[in-house]
Amino acid sequence: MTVVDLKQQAARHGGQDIRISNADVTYDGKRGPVQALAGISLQSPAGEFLAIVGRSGSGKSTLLRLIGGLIRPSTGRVELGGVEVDGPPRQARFVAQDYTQSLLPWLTVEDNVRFGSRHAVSPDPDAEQTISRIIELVGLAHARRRYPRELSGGMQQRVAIARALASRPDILLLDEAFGSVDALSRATLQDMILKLWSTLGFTAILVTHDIEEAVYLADRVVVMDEGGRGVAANVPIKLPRPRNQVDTRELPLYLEYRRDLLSRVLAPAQEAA
Amino acid sequence: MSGTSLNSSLDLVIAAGVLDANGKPDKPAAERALQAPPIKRRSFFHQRIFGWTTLVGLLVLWEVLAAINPSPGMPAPSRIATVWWEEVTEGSLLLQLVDTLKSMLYGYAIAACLGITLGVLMARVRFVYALFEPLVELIRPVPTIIFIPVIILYVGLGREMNVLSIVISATEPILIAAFSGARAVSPALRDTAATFGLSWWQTLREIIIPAAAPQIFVGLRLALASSLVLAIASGMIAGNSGIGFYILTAQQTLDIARMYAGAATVAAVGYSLNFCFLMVERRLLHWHAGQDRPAAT
Repeated sequence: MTVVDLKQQAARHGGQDIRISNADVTYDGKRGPVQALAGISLQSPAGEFLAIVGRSGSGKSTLLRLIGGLIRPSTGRVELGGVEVDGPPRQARFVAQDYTQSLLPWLTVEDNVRFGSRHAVSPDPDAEQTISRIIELVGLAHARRRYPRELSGGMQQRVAIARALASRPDILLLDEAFGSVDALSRATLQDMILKLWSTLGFTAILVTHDIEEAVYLADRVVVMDEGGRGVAANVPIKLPRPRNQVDTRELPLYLEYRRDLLSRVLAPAQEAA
Repeated sequence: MSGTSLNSSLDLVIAAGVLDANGKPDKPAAERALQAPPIKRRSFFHQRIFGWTTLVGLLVLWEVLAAINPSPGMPAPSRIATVWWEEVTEGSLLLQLVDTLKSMLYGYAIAACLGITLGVLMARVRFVYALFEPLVELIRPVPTIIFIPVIILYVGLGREMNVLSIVISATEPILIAAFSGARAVSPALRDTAATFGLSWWQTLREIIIPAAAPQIFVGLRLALASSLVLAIASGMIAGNSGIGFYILTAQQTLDIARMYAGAATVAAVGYSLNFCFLMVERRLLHWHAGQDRPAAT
């Protein structure tokens, strides 16, 4: 399935473009206001898989929380399908890095996913069917009656993703979503999210500090400048799909992207100059 | 946040081990507080049953001492047991006990509703916090016994008096626990509620209250003990009815065996109530890490 197909599919799903124009984010710090993001502008068409990379403190997580409506810009605008974002948008769901804190520990895997379905973006006539299908898609059919604390980190994160997807979002925001699991689980989660994305056709925005992960997954990688000064680079990734862990990561083009992005992230000051 | 003064009143919850001094969940301590000591393959002397032999030993010693040196002031355990059985089958012991438990149940139920509602609302609504915080702080350090003469003055010596004194005593630990539990809900969970578009009421029902449940249960357990104390003591002080009154009457009429029979009954009831509470808690909070059974089979 090509990217163009996906975008059409997403459009069918009612996917909406994201547009951030000239947004500032300022926090109240102990010693006066702290600027986390300054004058950032970014667009993402519906159905895109966008990765945001950058060093710590580059404001990449802030950017994601901005799109997710968890914080508001002090100046500038965030729009979704032409409508200004004012609080968490109905059509977006957020998957945090800290899965141990964001799952509902008193609910089973199945009930956590059902929670997502009960609070869905659009009503789902076949909710129960969707729930079991998504649980199967994330490979947790055998663990549906277990509680979060009985699961490994990777499994918990799969529950968090399943819960988000059960609410049928147009936009899935992933904040270092694969950052706290071991390398093998991480590869599994990456492939899982690719499969879900190509099957369900949502817009995916992934914040990560892992350049290789960004190249492997995304249609486009945005490099954040240091100190929240905005977008340092915008690199379309023209790797063929479907991608897989073994072959894709050996393609010369993959290595080229990796090299290019690594040098940009490691030397953002030079790039800006 | 202006919760500093109430922070000081979190002592109870901190003492119960659910929060550490910084107000953060203190997992190991919570486990210590909520869990029986782990029963592993240990020698007899480390097992709980060994503790029971201490009790049996003391009773045997008492029996022997009473046989050697008989005195009306110190009836033998066997004699107390006989009197207890007579009192259960023919006397008013059970009636008085039921009477006390009735007051306790009413008072505890009201205190639970009041404490949970008020505690959670104080944690979630600034206005409610501002409205009640001084009142709670003022009433909290006053021993409930002080209120009993006042209560008697206004509501008389009926059951209302017993129930009201239990409510005053038992609400506070539940309120404090519910407040701290509802306030300590992790930012990630609150983000979850926000991104899934939950309304204020849905957030309260589906996120805040379940998340605060382990702490609320600590408060409920502390309140259970103080409810029993007040149910008995209020009956004793007011001299109206109940097992406390029964014990006091036995003591005043020098019916010492009957007094001990009453006291033993209270001990057994207290132990059973706590046991039942832990069973319910284990059932409802099985998802909580503090509820890990030592030897999961």
